[in-house]
Amino acid sequence: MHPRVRAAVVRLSTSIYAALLIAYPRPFRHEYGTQMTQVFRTACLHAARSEPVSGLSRFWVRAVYDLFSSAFSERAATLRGQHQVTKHCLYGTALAISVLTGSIHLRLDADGLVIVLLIGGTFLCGLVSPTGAWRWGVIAGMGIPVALLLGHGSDALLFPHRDTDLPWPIPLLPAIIAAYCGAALHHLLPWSSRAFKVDREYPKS
Amino acid sequence: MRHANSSIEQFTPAMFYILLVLADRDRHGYGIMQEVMIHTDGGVRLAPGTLYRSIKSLVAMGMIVECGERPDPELDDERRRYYRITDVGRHAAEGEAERLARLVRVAQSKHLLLREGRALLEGSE
Repeated sequence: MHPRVRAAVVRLSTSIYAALLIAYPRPFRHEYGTQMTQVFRTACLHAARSEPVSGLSRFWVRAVYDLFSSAFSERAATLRGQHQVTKHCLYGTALAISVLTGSIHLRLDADGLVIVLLIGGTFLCGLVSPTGAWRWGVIAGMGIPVALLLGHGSDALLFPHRDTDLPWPIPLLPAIIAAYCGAALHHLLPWSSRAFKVDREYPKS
Repeated sequence: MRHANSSIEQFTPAMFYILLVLADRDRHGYGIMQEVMIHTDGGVRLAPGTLYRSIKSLVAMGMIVECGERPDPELDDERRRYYRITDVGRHAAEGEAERLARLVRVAQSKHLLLREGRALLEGSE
């Protein structure tokens, strides 16, 4: 390869690589972007000198794979730092689901929405914090019985006032099952919950 | 292996390679890349992304620091940053090297070390 062509190829490759660095989070790019581009440029020049076509192609494939895999890891790490979920936060979420499902069940005829909220919410709580997943099911599932108790008195807990109402322990079951489904997914596919971390579940330094 | 200083960061093989090449002298990013390649007979080629993510983690763990001194300021590109191993980093590298040595001994006792590996071990003694 002619030295002038080689210089142009290296310059173009470096510009493309510098543009691809946008895949990394901004603070990382700000701290190491210049260094990475410089290292890439030197390594690219070395590859172009040793084996102009095959060496450069192999180098590019490796560099792009490394760029995207490490950018993904860096973004996931940044996300973990930003989304540190505390147990209090999860208790709050389960309680909010409980209040919301109870109110909707009492005031609106929207059972589909109640089911989605109850099952979806407890599933997510179990996914984020699998230890003692039953808690999320119990807290969220108690919303409907408590709302019925407050709205229609103690009879409503045992005797349905609407066709769709069931005795009070029944709404708890799908909530607890959904929470344990989330917990199972957490263990089966750890990456599915990697964006979150719960304070007490990581080893303390 | 989880390091005591961090509950999140993992001590990866790339980090160990970086500590190894910084054990005898300060180096810049490309120097580290080259040295790792030489030490592993071309088997490990750190690309810029992995290299600087590992450097970032090592700096955060206090195992390496960026140093202001340059081995040869007149000949060197002033934009280059040099890194130096700290006592914490040296201690971690020693611990990891011992762990690997123990594993090699176990492999040797179970006749899992091939002729080439045995020759390497005998050569180093």
